[in-house]
Amino acid sequence: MSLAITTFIEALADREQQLLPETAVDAPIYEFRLKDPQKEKFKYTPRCVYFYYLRLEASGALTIWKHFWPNVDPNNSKKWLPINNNRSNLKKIITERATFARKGQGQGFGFGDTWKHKSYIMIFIDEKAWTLHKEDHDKAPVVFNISQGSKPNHSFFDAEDFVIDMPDPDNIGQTMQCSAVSIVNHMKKEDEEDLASGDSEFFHFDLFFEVAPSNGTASSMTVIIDPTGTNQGPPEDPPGLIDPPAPPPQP
Amino acid sequence: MLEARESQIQELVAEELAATGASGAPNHDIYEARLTAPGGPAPGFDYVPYCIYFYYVRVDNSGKLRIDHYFDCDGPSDDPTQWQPIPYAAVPGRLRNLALNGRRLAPTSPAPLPDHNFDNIVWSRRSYIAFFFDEVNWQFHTRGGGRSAVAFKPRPGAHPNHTFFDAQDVPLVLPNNFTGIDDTRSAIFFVNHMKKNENGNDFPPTPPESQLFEFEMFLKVQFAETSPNTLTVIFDPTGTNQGPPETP
Repeated sequence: MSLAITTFIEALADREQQLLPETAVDAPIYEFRLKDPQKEKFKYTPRCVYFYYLRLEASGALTIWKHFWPNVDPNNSKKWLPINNNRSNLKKIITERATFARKGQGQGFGFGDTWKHKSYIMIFIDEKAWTLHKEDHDKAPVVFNISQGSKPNHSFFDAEDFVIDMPDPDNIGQTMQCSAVSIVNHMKKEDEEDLASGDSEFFHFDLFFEVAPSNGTASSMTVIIDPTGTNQGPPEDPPGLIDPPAPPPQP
Repeated sequence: MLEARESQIQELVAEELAATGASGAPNHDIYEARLTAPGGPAPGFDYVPYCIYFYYVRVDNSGKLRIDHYFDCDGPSDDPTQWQPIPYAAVPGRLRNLALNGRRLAPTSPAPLPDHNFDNIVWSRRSYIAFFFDEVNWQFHTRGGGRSAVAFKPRPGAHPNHTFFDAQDVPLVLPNNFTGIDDTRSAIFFVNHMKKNENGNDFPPTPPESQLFEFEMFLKVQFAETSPNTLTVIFDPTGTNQGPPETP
């Protein structure tokens, strides 16, 4: 490495250090908080899902259906139940939501949402040739872009990557593999406390995809899509408002 | 929210343009006029290229990216001694022909090169470099829109821009193969002056020297649903200038 490059990297490191008091540390989404006994403030199991369904149309236009899926009663947040965060359950939910979205039954489109609930954020791409970056490839599918005004990540953790088998519309009877990621939005401030009333934090994140070229011998291309979202505090349906589970029936 | 996002993208581009590379040299805007400077070419930037590196991009029906490379010159491609300079003003017209040629609806001329990606492109000539996106719903950012279709990233190991200038956004009105109705696709081209450094020095005859550049291409992608909003999609290719440039 040349001296000039070394100097440049050191200068960058210095700049990052200067910015740290303002921006804090941009923590990776794969950190486990729900399952980490040391992280006592991250123990709320979400009761709802913000689901984002992406697909490229033949016209090249991008479909982004989204819908909000609460566990059980959509009309009464006090009755929502915790959504078990084991992989098989999350995969089942993604598959069901993606199947639902394929029918065009979303509640809106695009990103740029205001999130009001502690929730799972699930992103699914209904394309064989587009694959979200994965942890096991040492690449994160979601990176917070502080240079574009985003808060550094201190709220989105417990990410898991999924490969979802879906019916292949181009080959009846066959399945295709689609990629998805599930992230828990803990609705936290930098100090790990819940967002308070009136708190609002803007996040600008980059979604990273590997896109296969039409020529099978060429390497894939990285394509980045840059959505935004805002955490609006205080998080609704805090645990204290949840009805306790019904007692078991008496024999 | 959309305005805020667009503002942030502008800031990102501005930040990238303002950034400096390992040498501390500035990272120039590709829209800076050097060959096309209003008072005549800037000193050392008066060479009119004899060729075009043309990159045809589309999203095929399977969602895969098709990236075809073409090399265009005014003369027989196998005999550079017969090539003629391509005036800057003639490039948009040639791009239209190259775009139609890239659709491969008839035998192509020039024929596509065997390369099929944006990784590690090597440029060995002073040239025009052009990117064309054959999708009506994918449009390059434009300077007229206050943004930049291409911005160089002077990351460690990559050079800041000191050689790519005179960019022009080119909307191309082309027939839609499905509807038969003309629509507008977008392209951008700029001049690779094959300069070695910020001072405008040329590469010496020996030894051979290469310089890596990383850049991002910014596109607005339309939502399928009826909406004035768009999403920004970014491609991040690399390219290498291999000096000294071949002649012409």
